[in-house]
Amino acid sequence: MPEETLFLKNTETFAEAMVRCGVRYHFAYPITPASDVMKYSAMLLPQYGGRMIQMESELAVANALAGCACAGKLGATSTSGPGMSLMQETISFMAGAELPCLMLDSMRVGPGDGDIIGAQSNYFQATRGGGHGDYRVIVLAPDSGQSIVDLMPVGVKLAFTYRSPVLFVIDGVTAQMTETSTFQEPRDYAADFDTSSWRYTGTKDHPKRFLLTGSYSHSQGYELNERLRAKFEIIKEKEQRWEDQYLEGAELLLVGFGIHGRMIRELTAQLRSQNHKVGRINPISLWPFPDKAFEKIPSGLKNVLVVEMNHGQMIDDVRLALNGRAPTHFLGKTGGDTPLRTLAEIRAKALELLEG
Amino acid sequence: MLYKCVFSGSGGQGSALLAKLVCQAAIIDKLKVVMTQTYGIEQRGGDSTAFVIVSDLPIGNPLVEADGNLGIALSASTYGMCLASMGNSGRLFYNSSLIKQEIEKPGLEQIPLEASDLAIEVGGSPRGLNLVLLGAAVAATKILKIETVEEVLRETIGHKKPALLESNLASFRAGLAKA
Repeated sequence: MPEETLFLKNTETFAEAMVRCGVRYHFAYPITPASDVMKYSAMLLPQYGGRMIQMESELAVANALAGCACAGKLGATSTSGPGMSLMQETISFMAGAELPCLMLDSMRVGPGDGDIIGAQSNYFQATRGGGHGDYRVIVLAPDSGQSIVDLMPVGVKLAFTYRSPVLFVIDGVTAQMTETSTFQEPRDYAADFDTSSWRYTGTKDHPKRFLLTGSYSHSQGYELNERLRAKFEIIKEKEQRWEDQYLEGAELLLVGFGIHGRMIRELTAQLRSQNHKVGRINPISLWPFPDKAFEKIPSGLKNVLVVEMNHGQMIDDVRLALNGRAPTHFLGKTGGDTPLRTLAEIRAKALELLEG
Repeated sequence: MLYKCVFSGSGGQGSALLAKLVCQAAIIDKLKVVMTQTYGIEQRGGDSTAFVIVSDLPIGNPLVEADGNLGIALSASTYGMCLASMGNSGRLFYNSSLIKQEIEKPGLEQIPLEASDLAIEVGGSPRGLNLVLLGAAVAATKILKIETVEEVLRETIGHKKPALLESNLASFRAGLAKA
């Protein structure tokens, strides 16, 4: 099958991309705005010898994911905020037990059951681990159908390289959008990884091994956390992803991810063509946060504007990365018929900061 | 080339179908497209607006934010919504069989067309009204190639409901002739 361009809702693009990249087991429970992923994968997976399995709850979904990973297989789930919250106990277990999986949080307005309209209000939950314990999961933030397709192989490789859950976060507006995406021919990226040293296969061909547990002795707990700490250091060093443009000579830096990343890409080009000194950084990995992108900021930088579909979450990481080098401003919104800041509003705020 | 399209209609009039047809034809014409829709109760028969951005370059901002430059309004109850999403330039084609009062918007060219009546005249049913207006819009703006739209109609409507293809094609061509 050669390269193929499809016109799909981005939730469907997520399903198509994950199946093409090797996911054969998709466990899910319906929730807006993520249900289309399971509807689409239920249709597609049998053609690839796989299955979508609708579980009885999100708790069951997460435990099925853990079981699937114990067998050395790549499993996936798709949900939204309330579902992510229900899965956190098992995600914490999987992080400790070093079990890989792919997850999608098609983010909607919270807290509580919230509203079905899109949001970016789960940034904290996604990037701080989400459950209990000293851990993080790798978080990737596509901003379009094409970037979902392009990041999917990256996600599978990260999950197996680091034996870690990998979480895709997409605001519900982007998730529900329909657009063209170009897919490469299917390739099972998970098959590249040798899982024989850690997957459960019984003891017929090897001696008994201590593989994993959710509770441990003082010394085992220390060793596990030291091992995780070292792993997280490597991930932070090697796996920061971002896109930047027009940093040279910039007096104002725009920062946004997901749909706002896409909007500031257009706005920055527009403002540069009108001779405004604006640059941009679009974080793609939210954990690890791309601190390195901010090492390159120019000395003449006067202001930073962070735009999010929430009331200010990623801005904390931007401030940590900047370490006081420039005043940081925020523009955001959550909920409403248009649950995000418009390009016109971002432009107005940017011009206000440029004019000082 | 950048068209920010707004297609508004009431349940069953075919605003979502219009959006899909435009997207499919634009893809064949090698253009980039993004489609967003208001959703919720609209799926159950209320008023609905579909937004489509068509461009020859990759699309940055995926939103139509009161800067639409090609609008089609099918019903009176959605005309105001459609108008609000339009900018101060471009064209709005509206179904004057149902929308009796034009509301002026400076800079915006508004084109009335008795689309429901025309659809009955050429196709025997008012259901082709969306294609009458699409025909007029395509002829006036050249946003899509006429033959591409007809190809998409044959593939979609012709594939599912062959009996309806001729009346839909007739509606589309009646719209083309009106421009």
